[in-house]
Amino acid sequence: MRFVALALVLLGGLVSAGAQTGARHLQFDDGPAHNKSQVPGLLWQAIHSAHHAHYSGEKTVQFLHNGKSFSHEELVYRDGVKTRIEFPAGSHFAGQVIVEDANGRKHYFPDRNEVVVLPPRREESLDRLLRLVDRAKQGKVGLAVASGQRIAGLLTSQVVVSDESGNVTQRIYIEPKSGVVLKRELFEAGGSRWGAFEYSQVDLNPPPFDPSLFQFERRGVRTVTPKDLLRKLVVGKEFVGVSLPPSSGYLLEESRLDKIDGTPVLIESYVKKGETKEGSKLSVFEISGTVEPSQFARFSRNDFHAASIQKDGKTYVVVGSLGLDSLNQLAQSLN
Amino acid sequence: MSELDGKLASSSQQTVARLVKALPEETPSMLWRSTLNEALLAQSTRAQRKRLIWRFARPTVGLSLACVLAVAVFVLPVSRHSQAGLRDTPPAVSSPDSLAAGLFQIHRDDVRAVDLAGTGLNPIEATDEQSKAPATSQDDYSESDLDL
Repeated sequence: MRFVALALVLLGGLVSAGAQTGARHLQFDDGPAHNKSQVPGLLWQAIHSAHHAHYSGEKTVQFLHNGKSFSHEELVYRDGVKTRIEFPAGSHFAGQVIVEDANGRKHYFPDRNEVVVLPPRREESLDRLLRLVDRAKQGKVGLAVASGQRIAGLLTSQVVVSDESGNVTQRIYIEPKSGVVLKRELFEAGGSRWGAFEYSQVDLNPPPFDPSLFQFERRGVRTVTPKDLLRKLVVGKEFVGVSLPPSSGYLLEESRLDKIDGTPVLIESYVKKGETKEGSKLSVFEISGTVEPSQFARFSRNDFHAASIQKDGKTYVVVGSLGLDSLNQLAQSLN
Repeated sequence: MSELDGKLASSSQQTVARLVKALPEETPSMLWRSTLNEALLAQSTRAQRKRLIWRFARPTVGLSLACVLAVAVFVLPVSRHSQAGLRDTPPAVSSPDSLAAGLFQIHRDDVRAVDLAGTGLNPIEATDEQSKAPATSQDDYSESDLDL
């Protein structure tokens, strides 16, 4: 009897997983939720590639942070939903290894002999592309195709993303046959480039990868979670380090301390488990001091809203692209 | 006995007896007695007052010491704690406008970082000094260590 029940549970799980996978493929391959005619086929090609791409290469990532320019190289191995990232010898990050599949992400730090277990990010970046499609459908962003550049020896076409006023916010360079994004540029409101990545070499037809390339198992390594890191971060500090419960569907990705205009702030970054059109990213801020909720309402725009609660002399703020009611519920659930 | 009577009746003894009898009789005056009595009374009142004072002063001093001890042990820490609590209770943030704008900017940057980083290092990880430490020789590993 017990075996029959177990078999039924397993069968149920398989049916449910199959239904979800089917739904995803329907959404991306056939796109019933979106009108393809309003979205360049090239972008659909890139979205499709997020599921099926098989390549390896080396890319340079550049961005501005606190007025400084940063740059690093990554060695990328990609097989559908699986990714492995290493860093070349001589890099600040040499020795670190990142492996990711549909279920999770492991980031190995050799100096700390630690593996940080994180939610996967592939879905998050895919969500961003889907959100772009949705916003284009609503007329909130403009998408246009233009000729691209030769990148890593390959010809590309570019999708130019602009805001409602026509300001270019992104340029996405896509290899048209594979749909692989070989270069992406992001621009500030004033038109200056904030960040970009670009492949310097890429192999779009590598031999099949050994499955073990996307696993990371090392005896004696300490496994830590983002929650462990949050607890460590607030020890001896003025912050409580409350977090969203797992039942919220949001998973803690990272936490850090910062100062805004001299006010210390604890920043927690969350990602929604599974794909969502509402935007998977959420930030929770803990502030020592009281801030009236009306202050946040003033900065709420179409893209982001904020809900806040005050407790024991502290203000907790949840910022995301969800509606105010949902954000308020999430703020109330902080513990 | 007769010898003693004989000695008392001696001329020298009779002379001393006459001299003693000749001394004027001094009776203490009423004034002196009254002064003495007053002095004695005053002395006894002072002693009584002193005893009375000590009778009340001793428990009072004891009680006061107990109170001081109680205050030192129980009241002061609580008061210090509550004062500290008051001090720790942060006031309203001085520049809420720029703070609110800053929070939105941080969220916006985190979101667009996803577009940039994809599955790679995001800008926060890439600028985190802690994560930049290169591997030491002790941490070096081979493919066999990784069980790859």
